Amino acid sequence: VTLLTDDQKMLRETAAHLMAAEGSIAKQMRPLRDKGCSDGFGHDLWRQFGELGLAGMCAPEAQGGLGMGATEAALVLEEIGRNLTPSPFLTTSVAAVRALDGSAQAERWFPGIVAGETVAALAMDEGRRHAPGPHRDAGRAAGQWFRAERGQAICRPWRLGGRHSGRGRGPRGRRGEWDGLTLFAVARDSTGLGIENVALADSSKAARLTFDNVSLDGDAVIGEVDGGSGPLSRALNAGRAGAAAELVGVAAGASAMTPRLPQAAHAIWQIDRRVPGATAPRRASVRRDRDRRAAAFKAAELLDGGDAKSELMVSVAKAKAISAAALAVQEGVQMHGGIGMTDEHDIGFFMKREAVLAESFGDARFHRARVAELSGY
Amino acid sequence: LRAEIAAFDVDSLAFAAMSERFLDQLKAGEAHPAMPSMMKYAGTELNKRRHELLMAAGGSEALEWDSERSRQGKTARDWLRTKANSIEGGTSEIQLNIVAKHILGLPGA
Repeated sequence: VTLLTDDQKMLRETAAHLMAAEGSIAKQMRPLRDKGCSDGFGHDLWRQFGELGLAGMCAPEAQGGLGMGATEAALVLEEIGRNLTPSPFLTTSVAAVRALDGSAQAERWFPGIVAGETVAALAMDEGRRHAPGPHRDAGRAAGQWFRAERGQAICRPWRLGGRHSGRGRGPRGRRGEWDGLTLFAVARDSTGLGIENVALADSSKAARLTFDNVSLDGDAVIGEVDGGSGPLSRALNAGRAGAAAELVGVAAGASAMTPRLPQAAHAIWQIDRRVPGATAPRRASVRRDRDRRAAAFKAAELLDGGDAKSELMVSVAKAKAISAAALAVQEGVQMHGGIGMTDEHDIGFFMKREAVLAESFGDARFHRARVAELSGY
Repeated sequence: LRAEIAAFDVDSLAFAAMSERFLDQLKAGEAHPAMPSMMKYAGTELNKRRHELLMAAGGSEALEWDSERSRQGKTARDWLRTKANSIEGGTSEIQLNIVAKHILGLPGA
């Protein structure tokens, strides 16, 4: 594993400072939730992401971005996770940018993304479980026009909902074949595209999309017709690695909150001192903190290097990050005792966020199965 | 997930058998003093696992919070509620402490 360069350390500091100062629970998550924000994230902060170059950091320099990769994205996502900052960064700046990069669609969408104005989401889950790939509905080619027949796709956690200008991209192709997939960029005001705003447990927003005879012309294709699996895989890999990095941050945030409790002279501390067993889980989560961070950054490094093993490591990172973060948040709530169950305390938010992030881009079971599959057993 | 649910069912049915036995022993005045703590610990940890599995089986739909479809996020709210089970009425750590003291015959039991 390569250690961070000076530039990367600087980026991490910038992100850490921004998220702690502007993206904190007290400044973003809690007030947005309390006022019932329909978008689930703060637009001012998102524009700040744009001003600082973070929103388009993974886009090529020639197109207004900073030409950065998965490692840099992971650094920013860890800080987002630590502060539970509601942000479309993962789906837009990481997953969508990776899909669009190098296609004709990049010209159209990158300026808005770089400026922190456009929000993109990947319409990828048709059922309740993450199982992307061959689509239930046949995308029918008719000359230059593609029709998405009646069907439904769930646009997974976040961010097509709300009233901002966003867009979604839906994988469509013949059933059972990765080869026949075509990926489209769909503007949110397209005729026939139904968007239902869905609030999730962590106060983020998802959208349920319905495609009712949505007509798309050839220009909406990302990459090549029938060649959607390329950009889709890139988006999924980037999204999965990114979700793992964000989970690392969520776990770190929950852990950081937990040991402060003894100083508050809480009764739990008494248990902690008297029962050796009570401190064991804390030690377990600190050790796991090292593994999960290492796995997340190794995955990002392999992705950046275009390594053939990157898909395997991405699944390792996501599975590992989920189990370690689940332990950290559950332990965090338990160690806080009754106060952890109240809404006034922030520790519960970490548990909610962990649940949503764990599910998005595939849960631990999905990724363990993928590790088995990619390892050939 | 299927295997995890099966493993849960095994533990759940075993817990039901243990409960039955405990109640009979209690009535007969033969229950071990550590038993109530064992039951509380096993029961609450089991209930937390049950709801973790319900969340996993429900996938993204189980994460919905406010909609009518999700009955105002019932699955997620019930899941979060179970996290208090191992805290209220004596935390799991306290229960294990009591069990350990009784079994090891430590002072204060």
